[in-house]
Amino acid sequence: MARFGMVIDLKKCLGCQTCTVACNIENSIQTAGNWHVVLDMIEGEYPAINRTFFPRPCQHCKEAPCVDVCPTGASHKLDDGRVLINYDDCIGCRYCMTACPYEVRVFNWKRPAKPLTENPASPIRPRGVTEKCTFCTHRIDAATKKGDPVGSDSPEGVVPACVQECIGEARTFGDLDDPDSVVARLVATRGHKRLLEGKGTDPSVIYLL
Amino acid sequence: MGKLGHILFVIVLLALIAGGALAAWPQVKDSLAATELHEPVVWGLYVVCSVFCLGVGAGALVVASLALAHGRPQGRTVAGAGALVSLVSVGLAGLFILLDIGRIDRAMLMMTKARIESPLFWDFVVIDVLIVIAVFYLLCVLAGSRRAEPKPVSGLLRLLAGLFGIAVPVLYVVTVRVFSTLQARPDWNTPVLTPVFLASGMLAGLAAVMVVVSVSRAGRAAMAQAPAIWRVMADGLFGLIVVDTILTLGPVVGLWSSGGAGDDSIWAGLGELGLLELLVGMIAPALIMVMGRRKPGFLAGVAGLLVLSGVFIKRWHIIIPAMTRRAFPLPEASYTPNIVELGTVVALAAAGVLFAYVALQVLKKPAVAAVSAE
Repeated sequence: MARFGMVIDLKKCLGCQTCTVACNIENSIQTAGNWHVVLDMIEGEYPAINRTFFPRPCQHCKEAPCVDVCPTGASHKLDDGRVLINYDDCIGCRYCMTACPYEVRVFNWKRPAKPLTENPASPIRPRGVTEKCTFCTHRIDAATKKGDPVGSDSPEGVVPACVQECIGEARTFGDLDDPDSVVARLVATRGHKRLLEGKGTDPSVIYLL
Repeated sequence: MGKLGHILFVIVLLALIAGGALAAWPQVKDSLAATELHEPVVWGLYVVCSVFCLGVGAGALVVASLALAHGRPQGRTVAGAGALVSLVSVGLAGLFILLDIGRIDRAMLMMTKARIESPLFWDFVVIDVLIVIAVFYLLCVLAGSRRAEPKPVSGLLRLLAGLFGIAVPVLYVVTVRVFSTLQARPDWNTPVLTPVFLASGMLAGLAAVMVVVSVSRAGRAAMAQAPAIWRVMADGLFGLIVVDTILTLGPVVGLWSSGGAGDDSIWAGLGELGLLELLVGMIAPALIMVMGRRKPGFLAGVAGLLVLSGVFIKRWHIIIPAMTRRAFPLPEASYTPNIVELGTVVALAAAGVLFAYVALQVLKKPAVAAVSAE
C-alpha cells in the first residue's frame, strides 16, 4: 500500500502564499480558517539574519495523535497515510486540536459564511466541527476511481492544489514507500527534516534543506 | 439561618441562575462562537471548570468512602456530605464537557461510536462510575439513618467503601493520565501532572466536604459528638496542603536547581497566578486551620473555600497557559473568558448548589439532613 507524502523544498519556497490561496479555493475554505499556512521564520540578529518561509500543511502523521484522541473515530487514518475527518461524526470536542503539535486544525466556530469560491467536490463544512488539510483527498479519490495516476511522478499525475499551483515548484507529492517515486528519491538524495521529529509522530510531510 | 434566611438563599440562587442563563443565551443561539474561544486557545473556562469539578467530586467521594469505612455512626454525616458534594460536582463536570462541545446534538455518538483509546471516552466512564458510587452512598446513608438510633456502618458496606476508597483515586488518575499523554503540550506531558492533580483533587474534595459540614448546624452537632472524625479531616486537610505545596513547588525547585533547563515551562516559575495560588490555596488555609482545626465552623469554612479557590487557580494555571503557547512563530495568543462563559458557569454552579439544597430538604430526615445548610 502507498504512503502518500509531500516533499517541500525550502530553498525553492518564495513565500508567495499561492499555495494557501490555491488551497482555499480548492477546498471551499472560509477566509477565517486557512488549512495551509506559510510561516515566516526569521532567525538570528541583524546583520546575520536568516529568513525562511515554512509552508505548514497537515503533516498526515503516521502516528497521528489527533486520531488517537478522537472519541468517535471521526478523525481517522486511511491505509495510504491520509489523515481525514468524517464531518458527520465530529462532535466538536477539539481534543484533536489540543493533541496536534503542529496546530494545523481549525474549528468552525461560526455558521459557515460563503467562501471565496465553492468547489462542489469539497463542500463547506458545518458549524461545530474541525477541519484541516486533506491532501486534496477528493482529487486523489476521483483519480483513483478513474484509474488515473496520482503523484508527481508523471506530468498528468493528480496532485493536491498547493503542489499544482506552486510557482517555485517547491513541492512534490507521491508515494514515500515507493523507492522509485520522485518524493522518495528526493528524500534519499537530499538533506531533509520533518517538523518536531522528537514528538514521535512520523509526519508524511518532509522538508528539503 | 431562619426561614427567611432559607427563602433569601433560594432567591439568590434563582437570581444567579436566571442572570447566568440570560448571559449564556448567546451560546444557545450561536454555539461556541459566542465564547472567547479561538485558535489556538480552543479550551477555556468550561474545561477548567470541568477538570476542577471532577477533582472535587473524586476527592469528596474518597472522603465519603473513608468515613463509611471508618464505621462510626457519625461518619454517615460526613459520608452523606461527601456523596452529595461528589454527585453535584461530578454532574457539573459532565455538563461542562457537554457545554464545550461544538455539536451537542451529536453527543450520543460518544456512546454509539465510542473509541476506548479516546481520553473523552474515559472522562465519561469515570464520571458515570463516580455518579453511581455517589448515589449508592447516598442511598446507604439514607437507609441507615432511618432508624431511631443510628447503628454503626455494616461490615459489608465498610468493605465496599474501603474498596471504593482505593478505586476512586485510581479512576480519577485515569483521566489525568490520558490528559498528560498529549505530547503536543509539553506542560502537560510530564510525570508531575498526575500526582499534582491527584493531591489537589483529594485536597479540594476534602475542603468541599469540610465547608458543607461547617455551614450546617447538624453537621457541626455530629462532629461535636465525634470530634475525632473532625480532627482526622482537619489534619488530613493540613497534610494534603503540605503535599500539594511540595508537589507544586517541587518542579519549580527542580528546574531552578538544574540551572534554568526548561525555564520556558509553566512549572518553571511562580508567575502571578502561581503566587496567588500559593497564598490563597496553601499558605492562608494552612494558617487558618492551625487556628480553627478543633471544630467545624466559620474558620474551617473559610479555609475550605480558600483551598477550593487555590485549586481552581491551579487548574487554570495548568490548562490555559499551555493552550496559549505556540509551537511556531505565530502571533501570541491570549484568552479571557467573556460574560457568556462566566454567566454560564455561574448559572450552572448556582443550579448545582440549588440541587444539593433541594435534595437535602427532600431527604430531610436524619443523617443526610445533618448536612443541610442552616
